[in-house]
Amino acid sequence: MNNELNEGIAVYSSIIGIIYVMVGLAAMSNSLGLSEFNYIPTDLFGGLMLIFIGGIFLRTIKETGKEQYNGLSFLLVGIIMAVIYSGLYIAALGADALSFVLGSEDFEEWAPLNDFRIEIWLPLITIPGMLVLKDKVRALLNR
Amino acid sequence: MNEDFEVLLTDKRYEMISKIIQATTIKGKRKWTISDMLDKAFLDKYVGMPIFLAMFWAMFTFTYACSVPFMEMINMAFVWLGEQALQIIPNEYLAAFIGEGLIGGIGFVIVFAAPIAFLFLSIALLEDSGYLARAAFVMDRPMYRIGLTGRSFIPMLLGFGCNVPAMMATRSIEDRKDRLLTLIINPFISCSARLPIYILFAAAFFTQYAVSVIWSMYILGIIIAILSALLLRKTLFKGEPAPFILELPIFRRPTLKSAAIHMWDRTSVFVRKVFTYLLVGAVLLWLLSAFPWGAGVENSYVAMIGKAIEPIFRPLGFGWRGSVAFIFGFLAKEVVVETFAILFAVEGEAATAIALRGVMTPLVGYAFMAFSLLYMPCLAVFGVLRKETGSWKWTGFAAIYGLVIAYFVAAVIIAVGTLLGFA
Repeated sequence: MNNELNEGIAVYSSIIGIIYVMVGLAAMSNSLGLSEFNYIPTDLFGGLMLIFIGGIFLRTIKETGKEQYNGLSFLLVGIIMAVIYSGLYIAALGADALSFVLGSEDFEEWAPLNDFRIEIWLPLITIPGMLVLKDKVRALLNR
Repeated sequence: MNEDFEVLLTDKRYEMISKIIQATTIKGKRKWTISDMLDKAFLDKYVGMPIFLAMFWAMFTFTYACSVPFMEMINMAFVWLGEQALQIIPNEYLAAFIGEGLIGGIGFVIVFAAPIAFLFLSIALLEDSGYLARAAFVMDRPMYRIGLTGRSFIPMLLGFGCNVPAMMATRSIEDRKDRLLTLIINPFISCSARLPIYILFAAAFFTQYAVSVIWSMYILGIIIAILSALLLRKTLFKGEPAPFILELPIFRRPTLKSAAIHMWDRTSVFVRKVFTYLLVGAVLLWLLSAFPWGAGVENSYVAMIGKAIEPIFRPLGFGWRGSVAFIFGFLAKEVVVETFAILFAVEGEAATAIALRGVMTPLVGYAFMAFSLLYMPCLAVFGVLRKETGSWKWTGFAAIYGLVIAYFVAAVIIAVGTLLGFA
């Protein structure tokens, strides 16, 4: 892999990392009552986990330019973690919908939009990364 | 000496492998595999630990959030069954015994089969993918620093499911001191039997932050285990821990079928437990709470027992019901939640949660969760502890140590919480 692509991946990965870290900080800030950001969950530990995911993307910067796949490894695992969290909150949304259908008392005023957390759609920004990784991963698998 | 020999043997083995490879292969540019790429990040010294924490957080969110509707369905079925029993059975005593004691008691605990199934499903997915071995690797360095061998991590991981097989797994630890240390701290790792307690209390007092509170209990268990290891290594078990050698399996895509089989195997153990130990516990508790007949729970035999030991827990504010729950919880930790349902004479998790709010504050509730996590292990674990240590002395020590730590941690929670204005 040439250096230009390597650097491009580092810049791209760091942008995703910064977005995740900022969203994570906002979620933590909301839960501590320091802010009231709209569309950001009020979730202390959930926010901390987003910062961790952001940290994985940011780690790409230090590893880029070393061995061929070093930087890509962190991008790959960052995307996997982002997708796991997206799937997790989609599953939680489905479970809450089921509770609503069952007529559970706690879900009488439930609205799907309340559960449509930012973590669900945030991995969309990793799609370009997925496309870059797809060829590399396929090449590795075909060896 | 044994450990040195083992390291020497492994070194020599890999030296020989390296020589054979050098003699039989032509060295080219190193080729990466997907496993290499994943390991690069999963085992990284900076992000390896955050990934581990994020994986466990995802596991508990999945367990809690996804199990709610299934708990509701099971609860609805048992409430209906209980009502039918009360209507159909003409004899007042028998109807109350079957409807409230048997069906109510069992129904209250069996709802927790749902989160336990989801917990085991997620553990199975992590295990089958090969991630759990990486988690052991990531934890090896901090564990060695605190005086534990990396081998101790496998039993500790198993402890998240059940402490009984976890304690049996310590047989792979050859060093007697390392093994005893792992056995003593293992009950602090939160097993699936404690999950119903966390779910009940988190739903009662921390609705919006339920997952965070449940997760904090698991982290608290790990922290107490680490601190205990540190303390015991410097006092009773002086010396260096044995080194840990682990060959990592390659990553595999976990199959839903295999994970579902694992999930069912382990959940069925819980279901069997409900219809054996917990059924006996429910019957015993109901009888003690129903008699003298007509006197009310407040004047029942169980209340007498609870009020006799309540002074011990008075500084913590657990009340006589909480005191009784701890005593019966020694049979099996799930009995703690069963006790509250029977003592409040209500059906379902939601009604019990409301009743709990009437007798405890959120701060006391959190301290209660911490006490449940740390105090004496259940009867089955106690038995295995005796068998594996081969000593009543160490078994007794582990039980008393757990009780002292539980009381101390709960008292610290109450004191700090009160100082911060959460009382």
